[in-house]
Amino acid sequence: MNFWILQILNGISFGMLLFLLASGLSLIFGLLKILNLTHGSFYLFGGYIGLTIFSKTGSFVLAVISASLIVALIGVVIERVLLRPLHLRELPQVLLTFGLLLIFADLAMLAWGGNPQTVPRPDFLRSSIQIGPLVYPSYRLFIIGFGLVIAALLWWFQDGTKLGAMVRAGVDNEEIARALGINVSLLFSIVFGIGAFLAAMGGILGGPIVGVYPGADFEVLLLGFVVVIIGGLGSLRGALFGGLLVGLLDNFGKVFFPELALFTIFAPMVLVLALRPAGLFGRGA
Amino acid sequence: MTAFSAQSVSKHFGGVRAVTDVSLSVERGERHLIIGPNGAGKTTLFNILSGAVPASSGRTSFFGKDITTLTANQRALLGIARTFQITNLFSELTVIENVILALQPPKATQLALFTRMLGDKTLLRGALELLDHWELGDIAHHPVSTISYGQKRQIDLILAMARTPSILLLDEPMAGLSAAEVVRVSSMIRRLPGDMTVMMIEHDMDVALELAERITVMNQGKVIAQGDVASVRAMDEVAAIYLGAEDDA
Amino acid sequence: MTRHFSPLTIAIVVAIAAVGLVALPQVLPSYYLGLVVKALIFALFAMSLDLLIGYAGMASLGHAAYFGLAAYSAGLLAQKLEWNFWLAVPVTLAITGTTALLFGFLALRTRGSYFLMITLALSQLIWGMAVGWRSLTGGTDGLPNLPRPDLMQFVSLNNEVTFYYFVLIVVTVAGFFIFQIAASPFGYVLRGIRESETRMLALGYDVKRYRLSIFVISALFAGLAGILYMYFNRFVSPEFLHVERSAEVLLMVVLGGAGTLVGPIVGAAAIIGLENLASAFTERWLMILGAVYVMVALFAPKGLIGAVKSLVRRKEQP
Repeated sequence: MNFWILQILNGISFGMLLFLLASGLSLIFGLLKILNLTHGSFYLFGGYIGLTIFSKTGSFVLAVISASLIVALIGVVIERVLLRPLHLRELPQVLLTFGLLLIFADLAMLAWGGNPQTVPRPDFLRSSIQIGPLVYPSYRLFIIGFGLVIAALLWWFQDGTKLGAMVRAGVDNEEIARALGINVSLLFSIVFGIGAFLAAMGGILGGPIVGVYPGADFEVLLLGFVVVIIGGLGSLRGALFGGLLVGLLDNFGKVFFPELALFTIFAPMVLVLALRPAGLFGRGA
Repeated sequence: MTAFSAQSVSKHFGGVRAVTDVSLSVERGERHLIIGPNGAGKTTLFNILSGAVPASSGRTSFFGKDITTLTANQRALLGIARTFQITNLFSELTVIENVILALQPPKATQLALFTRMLGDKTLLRGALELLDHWELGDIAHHPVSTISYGQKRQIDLILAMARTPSILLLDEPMAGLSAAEVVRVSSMIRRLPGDMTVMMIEHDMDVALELAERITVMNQGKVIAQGDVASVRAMDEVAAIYLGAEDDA
Repeated sequence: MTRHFSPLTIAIVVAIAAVGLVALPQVLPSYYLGLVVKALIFALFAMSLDLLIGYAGMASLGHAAYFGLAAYSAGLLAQKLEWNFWLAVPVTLAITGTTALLFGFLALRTRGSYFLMITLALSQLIWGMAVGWRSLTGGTDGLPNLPRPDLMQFVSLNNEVTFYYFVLIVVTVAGFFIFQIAASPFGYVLRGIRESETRMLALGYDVKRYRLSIFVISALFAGLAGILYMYFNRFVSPEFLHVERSAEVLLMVVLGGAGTLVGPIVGAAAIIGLENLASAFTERWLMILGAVYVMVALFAPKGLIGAVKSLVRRKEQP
């Protein structure tokens, strides 16, 4: 019984990282209509930059916040300078974001080397907590809690704030939003920045659990896409549900079918594609 | 003989009711005009009739056969053709390539991988004849993106007519045309075969009323008047809408 | 495209290319000959994708799935079951085609960026299976020492020159079929679908079926290229299937010029030449490749052939 609870908690905590990544992907696609392949790089750099800051300053909190801000800034620059001229042109956008993915991957190699690195847990989260008969790492519990807080914040932002309403208007119909006087240009940059911020946060928060290593960008990007396919593009609910589902499937897959771990994710994704191409909570393909 | 009919057709998109409980029936060879102010639901009705959009409720029949569940391409194969309000041509291809695409048999072409497109002499000749017939032979090899707007509207019509459909749905064929071009296009419409059933959406009242035999007037998704030209023109409700519409126009 | 150049010009260019390609082994050292073989194989791969992108208007990020799946199938059939070439290749193509049918059925209900994402995810999952299923595929190490086909008595494909001619013949024949399909009525229907799906439906064409057909056809040619690449390397690994491979062939198509078939050939040669050159000078060649992607996206979306076309068009209008 303990075994199952342990695995479920592991799956959920990993799933929260996926939620952080996928929510950004989903937001960016919903508003800017961009399939952002560079998102994997945001995750990777969040991890690497965060690790560097953590090891230099000893403050995990500082590392998380500043790494995410730095990556968010990089994201905004990319959006304004490189992606803006390619507005609504899918093929060039794909080539651009993929090219950046390659460039960033190589930069990371250059700066941090090819060896996988582990991020040590912050001191205040090193312990394991006793929950009934079970002893579970507090860090993972923190991730789960943190993920829920972020989900709540994003929900409040989307449904409760003026900015969120503007985003929803822009997602629905960009032209009308512009005509209504919404500063769509600023909105684009803000949302792209938020997406990058979330991805980077996932990267550094995930450091103590999965490590930071070359290739994480591609791996996490793929999982992010599976989450978005299952959950539905443009849906926060979908990103959370999909993230948790994929996190659980990934975990159980690795435990029970290590050779075909990805197949356990494949099957539900194929099922969703066959039955609901727009995703479980998606709004039309 | 009733060629085409719609029975209590409705369409709503989310909360918006674009078309509500519309019924009409058109005889074989009839020239039927659909008029109404902008947003009346005319193009949505056409989309339902041509199968481009499924109705939320109601039925559509073609020569007595229920075609409600048929897709757009299935209806096209039965002989229901349409033009589009916003010109919808294959801009990177030449005029004659556009016409050949309209002429060739859609099902058989699925297997036509090993012949040359412009090699079928019969099709080529047929396409050129069609273009010459409508005095457009000299632009046959021009890319569609380079011809004038008026010529594009004419090609739009030719594509729809290419395989001699039984029912032709024309969505604002005169939209955006100069006076001279209106004359050309309305003459094309006048020269359509007598046994072809033609339904037309149009805003240009003078021209449209000359070509029509019966009219359906729509407003806000509903039919508010239906009948032959003379009686509909005389109706108060119709005048009310159009007096109002003239103020806007 | 051919509207701008006279049949005579085209014939001369083709003749020169043909003579050049046939005479090449006599003048080129074997390392460079190998590069030309690689370029020919990727030209086929790129042309297959162009049918999908340039003609049918469906950009895919998962084309390497068929390239790699065919390579693995043919390799495994030869190594584990010792099937000969004449049996292994048709069976491999059948497997590839069936997979494309399944994937196409799943992906083709979507368009644009959705379609891109789904093709990507489906192909990365095949990649994941190749990496994970060590007992069958050798995992990240791949399958080494795969045999080249045993065609006939006196012909040994282990000779690099003979292999070059083998690839040249296969790619030329396959290329000929691809050009034919593009110029056929079927090919024009695809272009019509790309320009206006609604119009094609209104003209009676079953757009779904045409899309699925070209998806499978294009996958088969990609699979053929994958088989050739496996023979070339005598080796197959998950790299054949990775999104980097799918993106690379996409770049070749766009750089050369989508929708022209000649463009992808040029693009394939250019990228292979570039990769080879860059990796000889620096370890950071991946960054350079990334920069090429970015440059093409920003400055040359119509590709090299597109640039040539506008130059010719400008000359035609005084």
